[in-house]
Amino acid sequence: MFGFTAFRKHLKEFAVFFVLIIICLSMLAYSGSQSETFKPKKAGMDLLSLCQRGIAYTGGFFTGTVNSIAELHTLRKEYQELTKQMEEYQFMEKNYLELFRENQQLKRQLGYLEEGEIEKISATILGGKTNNLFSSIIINQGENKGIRKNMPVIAYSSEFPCLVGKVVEVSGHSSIIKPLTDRSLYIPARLQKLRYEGLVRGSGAEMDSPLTMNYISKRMKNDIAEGDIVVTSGNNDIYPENIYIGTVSGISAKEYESSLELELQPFVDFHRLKYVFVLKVTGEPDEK
Amino acid sequence: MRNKLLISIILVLVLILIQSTVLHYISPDMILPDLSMIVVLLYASRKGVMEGQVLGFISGLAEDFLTVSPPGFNALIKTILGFMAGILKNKLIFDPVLFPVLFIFLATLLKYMLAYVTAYVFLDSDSFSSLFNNRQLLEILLNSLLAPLVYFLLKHSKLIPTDIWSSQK
Repeated sequence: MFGFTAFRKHLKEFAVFFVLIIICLSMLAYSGSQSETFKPKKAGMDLLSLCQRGIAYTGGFFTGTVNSIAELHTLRKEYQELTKQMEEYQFMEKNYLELFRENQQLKRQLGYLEEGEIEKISATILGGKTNNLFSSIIINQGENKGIRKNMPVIAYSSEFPCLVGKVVEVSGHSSIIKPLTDRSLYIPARLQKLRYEGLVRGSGAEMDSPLTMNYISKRMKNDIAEGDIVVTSGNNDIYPENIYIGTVSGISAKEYESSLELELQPFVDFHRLKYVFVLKVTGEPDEK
Repeated sequence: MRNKLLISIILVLVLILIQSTVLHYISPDMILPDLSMIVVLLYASRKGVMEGQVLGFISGLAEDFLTVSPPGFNALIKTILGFMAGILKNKLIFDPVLFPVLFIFLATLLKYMLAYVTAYVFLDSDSFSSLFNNRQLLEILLNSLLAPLVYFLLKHSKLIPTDIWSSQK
């Protein structure tokens, strides 16, 4: 009798175990075949991101209060400097608008196709990875602002647009970004000055680890120097061109390979990243 | 008993949220200890298979919702770990230091093995870095060192039994 009871008890545990495993495997198999974010994941992301928002804002309030006291005395000085800079920029803007009009006119005359409009959706970073298996960044905007899967994400560093990564999961009010340092992200890129094109890929281990750029012919080795800037080439539907990726920090040419391997230091500093912009290009990116 | 499971679920969810927010603000590139896994496994080893697998499944699913991993990836790993830890109920002496260190050390090793196999079967080869790189080895060490502290806190919050021998109930 006891044995039967014990068996029945364990049978229930095993049954629950197999049901849970089947649920997990079904989710894995189903989500792999879907281009859209899996619906239960969307709901879960929304619910948990709400809690993250609470934690982030509470933390932000305390650190903001402490920091604002320290920042007050520098504000006046900065204000005066900025007013001066603003006057300069107003003058520059005038020149820029003239040049822009001239450029548009020339483009039309040469029959260039109009580039798609790019809308920037600003977002605040709520959090990051929960374990060391995958790196990710969570932001506080989602489908409510028109964010979709595969949209590129940038941040501004020294006034330059720098690539942060791309959107991989979207829910109603939050999105998950895969950083450009991830191994599975391939970015068509080119050297800004020399215009040699290649493919940039992350190393996947750490967010500040270097990137690698491949498929640049060995013949170009003498032309490339450390410090050269690498930008997106715009050769695919996801990343528009001329977004800053990184600078060359190392050049290696393996004997058995026909192309160079460039080591790049990413422009974006993930340690100081607080706000990002999701780029919405007219003509939606393909679902990958 | 259900109350304790509910408290453990809330605790695990809070730990996951803290890991993804507070620790991210300290450093986005930090090597994170898997605090939720430590709680799941220590709880399961004292409470049994059912509690272990349910808690493991929920904690894994929460992680899946907050990361780029496909839904089911972490849930599968944590369910299996919770189930296996639950089997150990009534079979171990619960030394407050040595047991958590060794137990969590082996469990984290197993977690990465399971993650590697799952990634190999369900994800493309680029999605997952090599097995046991420096970061993962550091996490194994970190988890093992934090395990006695978590065990101490769980015991004193009465979420798990306080006796050295596993409970017979």
